[in-house]
Amino acid sequence: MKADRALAALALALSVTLASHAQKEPAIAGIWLPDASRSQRFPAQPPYTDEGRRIVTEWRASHDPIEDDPGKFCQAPGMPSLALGGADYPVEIVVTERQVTILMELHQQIRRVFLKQEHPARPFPQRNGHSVGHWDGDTLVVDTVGIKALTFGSVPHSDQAHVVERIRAVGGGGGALLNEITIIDPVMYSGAVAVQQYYRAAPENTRMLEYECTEGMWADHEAARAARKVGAEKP
Amino acid sequence: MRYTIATGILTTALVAMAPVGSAHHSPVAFNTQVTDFELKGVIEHVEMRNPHSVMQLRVPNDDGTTTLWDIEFSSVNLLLRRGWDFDRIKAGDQVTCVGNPSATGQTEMYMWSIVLADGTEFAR
Repeated sequence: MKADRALAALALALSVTLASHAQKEPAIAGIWLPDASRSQRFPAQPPYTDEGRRIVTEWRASHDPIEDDPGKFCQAPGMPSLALGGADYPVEIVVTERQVTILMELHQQIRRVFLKQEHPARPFPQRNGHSVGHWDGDTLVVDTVGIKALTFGSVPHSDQAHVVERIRAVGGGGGALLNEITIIDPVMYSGAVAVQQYYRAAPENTRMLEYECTEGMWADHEAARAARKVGAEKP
Repeated sequence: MRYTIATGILTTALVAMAPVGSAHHSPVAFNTQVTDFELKGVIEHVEMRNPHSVMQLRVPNDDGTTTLWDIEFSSVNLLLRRGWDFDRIKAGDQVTCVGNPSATGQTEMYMWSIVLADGTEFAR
């Protein structure tokens, strides 16, 4: 009898523990789809510094918009551009105690937001930079530095770019996600640029897919290789 | 001589078999003001892939000749989510493609919808 009671008490404690863990699942976790109808775009005429304008003008003058399109070469723009969403491709947010992982289907980009950590003194420049975060209530605050300079993408930026994001579920019931993005880059822009990116909850049956982008380039290589082989066989 | 002819035939065959290259054009490559540009023809080659899917369509001309058009359309990921049935879009199929013509007069288009021979339409 005593054993039955003890077992019942244990089961109750376990169910309470599991329920409390279930309740702790942050509202930002899950799969989201960019909502262009509510989102802002990076300004077409941002407040360039003289140096920023020079860099962008020079890049545009030296690149043909069709032949030299980075998208043609599967170039992922990295941060801060990818914080602004990517067409209709879903984004999956996975929250654990020490890390928030943001998986973007477009170009299979991955962002790791390290919680309870600080930036390294000299972060190695990467396209998505180095991100640390903390919780402000239900809002995830993300700070990103160490971003590799890049002139293409929706946000041309230098390696001095610093991005602060405030990510939270909005609209009740976890039906939408808002990322308030602030971009500071003293080399490119004379002031901070703030942009709001909204997402809507993906339908229940949405599953993330892989995104292999270089098959066309490999096909080009294979066609060229086959042509070379034929040429070599000529008498 | 016979070897040269054979090589020529082989080269032609390889070119015909060669997959469409790394098609991904910036939107500026197409005239997005025109959205109802239409091509009717037979699919010679189609690949659903990223960043953009590609198709080659053999289109008859008024003078009895044909032209092979390069058609670019959305990524395999987005098409899957939009319900495109890839098993029903194959080489040899007669289809109608609708979208934007080339902005520079090339035999290229960006396709937004396809109508199959039985009238089934897949869009966006």
